[in-house]
Amino acid sequence: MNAADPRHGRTIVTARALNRVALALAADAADIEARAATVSLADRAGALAATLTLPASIGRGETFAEQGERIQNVFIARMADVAGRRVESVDVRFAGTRTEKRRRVR
Amino acid sequence: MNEQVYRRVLRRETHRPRTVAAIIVAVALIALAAAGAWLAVDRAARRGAVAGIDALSDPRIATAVGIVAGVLALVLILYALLPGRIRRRALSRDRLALLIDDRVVANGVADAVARACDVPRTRVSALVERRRVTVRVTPTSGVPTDEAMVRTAAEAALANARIPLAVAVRVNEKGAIA
Repeated sequence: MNAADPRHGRTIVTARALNRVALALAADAADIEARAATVSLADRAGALAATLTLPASIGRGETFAEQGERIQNVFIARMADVAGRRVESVDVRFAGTRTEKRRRVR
Repeated sequence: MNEQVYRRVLRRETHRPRTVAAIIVAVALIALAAAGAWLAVDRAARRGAVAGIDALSDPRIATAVGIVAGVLALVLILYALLPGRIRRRALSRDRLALLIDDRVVANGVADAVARACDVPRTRVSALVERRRVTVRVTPTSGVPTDEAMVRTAAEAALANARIPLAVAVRVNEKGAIA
């Protein structure tokens, strides 16, 4: 019953790998180190629902709400680009803060 | 001639044999006939038989015997009337008679769907009934599974094997994270 298939092999992503990818993208979106953030993924009626727990950045001239929204948007877009997953909802939970320091470019 | 042989062999392989039931009934009938003939000839035996029938007038014994006979009769009737299909299907090609277990068909369909829809094989299952195959897919969270695509893949696999079955698709509401 094997129809000729132009594709050979398949790509399998484990839940753990997806979680690591999501963590990296969340950290990237918030511009923090990955170990400062945690990500949990859940299924919501066939779509992904993510909860990001990370420190809020202070000193960017954004309110928490703006910052949360920006992280949501970037995270959703990058998850679609990188992992090909549609993320339907992102809950951003700020736990702690992180002060943005301007560093001289060397 | 081959045509007929194939048909008979395929029928034999796709239906449960009733040999055992038929032998039991035949033996019972022969025993009854022998007993009848004996009673007709031997007067002493006839008296013994009448005494035996008297013992049956005890309602408890009569009821028990009746129930056993009824159950036996029901089993035999079901054996006679039910089709007794084995979950297997017969196909014949010009020079071949093929027998395929339904489970094999189900696996083939599930494989094809998993390949076409890029869902891990462990999350696709198929159940083959007599005229229908039900394909159940648990999608990957965040990757919508196209029901039409599942149907097309299943139908293509069945058409390829020339097995005429209707396809029913069920996509689970809840996806799996991966």
